[in-house]
Amino acid sequence: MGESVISLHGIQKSYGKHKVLRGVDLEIPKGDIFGLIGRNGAGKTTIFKTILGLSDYEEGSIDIAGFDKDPDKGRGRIGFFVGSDFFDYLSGRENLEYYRQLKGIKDRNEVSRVLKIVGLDTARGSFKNYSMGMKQRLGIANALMGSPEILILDEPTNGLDPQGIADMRHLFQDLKKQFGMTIIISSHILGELQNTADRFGIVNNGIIERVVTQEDLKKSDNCVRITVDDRERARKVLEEAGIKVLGEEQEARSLEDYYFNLLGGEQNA
Amino acid sequence: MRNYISADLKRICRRIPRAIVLASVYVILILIVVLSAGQNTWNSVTFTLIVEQYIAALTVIFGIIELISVYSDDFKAKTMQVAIGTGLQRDRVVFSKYTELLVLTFADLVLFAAAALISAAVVKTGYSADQAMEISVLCFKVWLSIAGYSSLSMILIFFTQATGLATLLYLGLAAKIVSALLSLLTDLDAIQFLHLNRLLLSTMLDTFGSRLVLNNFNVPSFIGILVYIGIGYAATVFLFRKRELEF
Repeated sequence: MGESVISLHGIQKSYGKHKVLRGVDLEIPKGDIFGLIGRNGAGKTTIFKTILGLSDYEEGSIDIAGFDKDPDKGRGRIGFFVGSDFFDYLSGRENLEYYRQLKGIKDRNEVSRVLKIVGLDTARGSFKNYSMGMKQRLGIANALMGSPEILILDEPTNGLDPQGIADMRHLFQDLKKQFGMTIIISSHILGELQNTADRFGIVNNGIIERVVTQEDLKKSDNCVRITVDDRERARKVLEEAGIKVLGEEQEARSLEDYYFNLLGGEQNA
Repeated sequence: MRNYISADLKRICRRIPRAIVLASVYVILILIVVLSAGQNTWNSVTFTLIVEQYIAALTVIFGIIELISVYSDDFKAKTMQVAIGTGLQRDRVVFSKYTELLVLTFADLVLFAAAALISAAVVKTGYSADQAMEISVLCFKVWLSIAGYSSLSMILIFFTQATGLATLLYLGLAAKIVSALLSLLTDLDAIQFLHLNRLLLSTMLDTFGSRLVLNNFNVPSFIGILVYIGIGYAATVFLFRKRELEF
């Protein structure tokens, strides 16, 4: 694992008598896409809130981009999406223009740049008339403004259609590849997260239960998936070679495959 | 911090409903003056009296308009969370929002004074430098009242992360309902000799305003007002420091 861009050490947090975080230790490697998964109430949102300074914690320490004494300075390098709340009487562009000024971004073309990235550059009308997916995209555009080193995204694909989900996956991978951006994503759509992230932190009962990598997921002793053109002959060959077939099941095509085959689209763009 | 203030001010100033309400306040003043000017008793003194009566209501009107403008949309859009999440310290968030309120109400009052002058010009009423000064002083007193009452209301705003209760508190303070209730306590026979009434913010504001009209800058009441502002501000910063903010 390379250099960490965010480190949490022994973070503890309670709401009254209810302990929500029980000593969270987490290292997010620089340039990784890190998936944070866990049940509702496991502590994912509270972890995000402590990183972003929106929630206080009783014990532990946080180091953001090397600023362990003053995490606020490190937070200046974070872009985040935790919900699509905007001024409903402004248009998407006007909302982002407001945030461009708030974040002190000098480049006046920045709003157009991020709107183009998320495919909202031609959107018209006020925010209140946006669809759920458009609001979600605008939130992600806001997070991308100023090209932050670290991107924190809470359920970024909620409300997006399959094409939108695939677009976001490619976007996150491009950001990592082109700019070396570190991205932390929380999602309940595990299949999608598996396609996107390099590493996964499993949150359970207020701690990081385990961190697994893509390699860890691939490691398995006896279970392999081989796609063949003749299933009957493959079984016969294996038996003739003295290899016992312990189980066999017909694998369903993923819904995403089916959708893109039917309607077309840029699944592997 | 400056970015936050400037972005907010630009956004708020473009808010059409706010502009309509403010414009109504100015237009109503001009209409009252124009309509009153037809009466036989009309002169520059009546003009000043009308403007002064109108000014008395501005602590409530401008205070509530700007309190809602500065905070309400911010809470809906959760911009404070964005500001803090991208590195702005919480005490600076409090400072930014309070500054915005002071800047906006100051601008409102300057425009009000301009509207008063315009109305005087429309009805061709002459007024003396003293009368103009009196109007300016009363506007300043209104601004100071807004600063004092809003600093106390800010405690509730930041703690509840909503404007409802705080607006009620502001209304209670600015309409002197709270001070009337407190006077019931301070006037009790057992403690009346302590003259606690003079320590109320509303009393200090009245004392300061009435003396200033007479060209007398009352230092003790001014310091008292600043102490109230300081207490409200410090309590807000203290309570907001640990406040959990929702996504």
